[in-house]
Amino acid sequence: MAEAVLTIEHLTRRYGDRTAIQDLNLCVHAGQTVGFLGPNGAGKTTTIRILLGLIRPDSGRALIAGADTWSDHVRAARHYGAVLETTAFYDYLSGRENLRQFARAGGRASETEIATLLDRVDLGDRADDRVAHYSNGMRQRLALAQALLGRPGLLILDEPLNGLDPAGIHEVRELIRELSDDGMAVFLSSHQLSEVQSLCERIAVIHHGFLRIEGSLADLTKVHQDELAIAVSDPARARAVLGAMAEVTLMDDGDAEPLDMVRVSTAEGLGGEVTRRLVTAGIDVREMHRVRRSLEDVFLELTEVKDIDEGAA
Amino acid sequence: MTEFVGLCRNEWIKLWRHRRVAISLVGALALGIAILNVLATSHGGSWQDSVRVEIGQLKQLEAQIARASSAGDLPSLPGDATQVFARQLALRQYLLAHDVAPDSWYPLTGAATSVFVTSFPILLLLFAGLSAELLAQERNDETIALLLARPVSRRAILMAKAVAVLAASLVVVLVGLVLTYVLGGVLHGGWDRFSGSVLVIKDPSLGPVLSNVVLLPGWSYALLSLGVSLLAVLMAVGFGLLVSTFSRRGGSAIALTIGGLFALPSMAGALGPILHSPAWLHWFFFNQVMPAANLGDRAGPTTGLVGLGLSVAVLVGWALLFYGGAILIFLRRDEIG
Repeated sequence: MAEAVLTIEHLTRRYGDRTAIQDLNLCVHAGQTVGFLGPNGAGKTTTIRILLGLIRPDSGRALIAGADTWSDHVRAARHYGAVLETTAFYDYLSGRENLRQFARAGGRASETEIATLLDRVDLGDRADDRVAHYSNGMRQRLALAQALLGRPGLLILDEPLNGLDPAGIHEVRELIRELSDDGMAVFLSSHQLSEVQSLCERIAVIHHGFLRIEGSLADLTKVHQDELAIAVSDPARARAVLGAMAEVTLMDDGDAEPLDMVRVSTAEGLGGEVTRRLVTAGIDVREMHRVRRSLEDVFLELTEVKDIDEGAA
Repeated sequence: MTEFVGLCRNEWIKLWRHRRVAISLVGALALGIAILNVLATSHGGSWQDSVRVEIGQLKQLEAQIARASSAGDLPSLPGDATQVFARQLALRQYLLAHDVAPDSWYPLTGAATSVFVTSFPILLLLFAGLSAELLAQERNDETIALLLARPVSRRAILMAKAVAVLAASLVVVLVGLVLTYVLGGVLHGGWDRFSGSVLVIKDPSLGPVLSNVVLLPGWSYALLSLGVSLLAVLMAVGFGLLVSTFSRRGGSAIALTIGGLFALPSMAGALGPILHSPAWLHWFFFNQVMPAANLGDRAGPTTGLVGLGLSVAVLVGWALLFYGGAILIFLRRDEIG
């Protein structure tokens, strides 16, 4: 396996009585694209602030290329570029001047590299306009160019698609994909689950400060491959028939599904038996397929169910 | 080192691009006051005649006060005021007796006095206000997270910000000094009098006697004024930076800093007579914000080289305290972006 560019070990941070993150452990290897998910207040922003050396952990540590992000910030920061949730820049300077500012602050970017980066994020022709006149999308693209200064090994992205129109989202998504293909590790925090799903090979879900699950996207969605969606001529009778089968669990009450759909959970290999029972009962089976759960399903299951449990407790 | 120079350049660019109007306007106001001072002290004829006139006026005033006091029309003057009055008279007599022109006579020393004494409080408030805004404004604009995420230490960022304001202050005071010097030269009929020496008292309590005076060449007087005044700027910038380390808004940081530098000297001025001018009051930074006022042939209870030494010691001490405090707070502070 490639070397770890980001290692989070037993990271804990509290704000007074509130625990923002608790015993967080995570690893990102070179070339990996990891999605960092969690609802608002889950601890994502706190984690990213610790990674950027903005706040100090109460215990544990975060290492980037082996350097502690708080106590050895300068060395750690040489290995990452970051896009923050708020794309704040010096509004009274141009996009190019802003990049020069950040390049001089510890980086070593040349004028050529700055021009190349501006072209890469499609800001070449607006590079000398004041940032105050930039749209949100342009700011977001400038933030990405800033993060790429000095070509870091790790890209830390906090909601990098905020404020972008569909075309902008497509461009940035393609850019992130290119960077990842070039071997750059990406740590992507986002609320846009479909984007995370399309970009990331690994996912970590944090909730109430705890890491709920971490693994490859394929593993996380494979867990639920025992679900069947069946299109039938008489959904009500089909539910009654299937509900009587001991090996089958109904997954819906009919309200949330299309009119002719029934969702059930079965043991693997029971698809044939389910079809036979329905046909025997005189119900037409028009279509049947295994349900591949989306990342959104996994995310909601991990976060909302927990909330309900904790609320009930 | 190259990176630190780059950081200083960054801060200089931000300072100028963001605050050039304020720097230009306040700088112009201070320059205007300095020019007015040069115009007010311009004189024709010989300096000896001017000093003789001043001596005559002082003696006349002294006699009037004595007559009024003995007639009971005026309460007798307090001891300090009587001493200062007597020293003013003695100083002018000394200048005349030893053929030393007053410091306002030479264009260079007159310019130094105008910039580093007359208009200096305004410049000090400008530089302190600018420094107070440095970090607070980055927080306000939410740019601080991006800046701190770069591979550069917080200490270097803080020091680069201080250097930028100090560089700006050096430019402003040098421009002011050159312009008032040229103006003084035009008014006094020539600006090449670098060789003229001015009198500086060593210990004000001993008065103007030969063993207690130093004759400083004009250029060294100006350089010394510049040096000690920059020390005051250093202290004020440190105070502003310290306020900035814990402020979230640029405006409130500026108000707190300027309020501190403006209100505290007034409070000390009011408290001084009430507390019978205790010695410890002189050890506060707000009593020493105009160190160049100790120089020259003006007479006061704490002027002279002794007063200058006290000012320098106090300013260095408070500057260390302010910068140390600012570094300590900024290095440990959580920046939530």
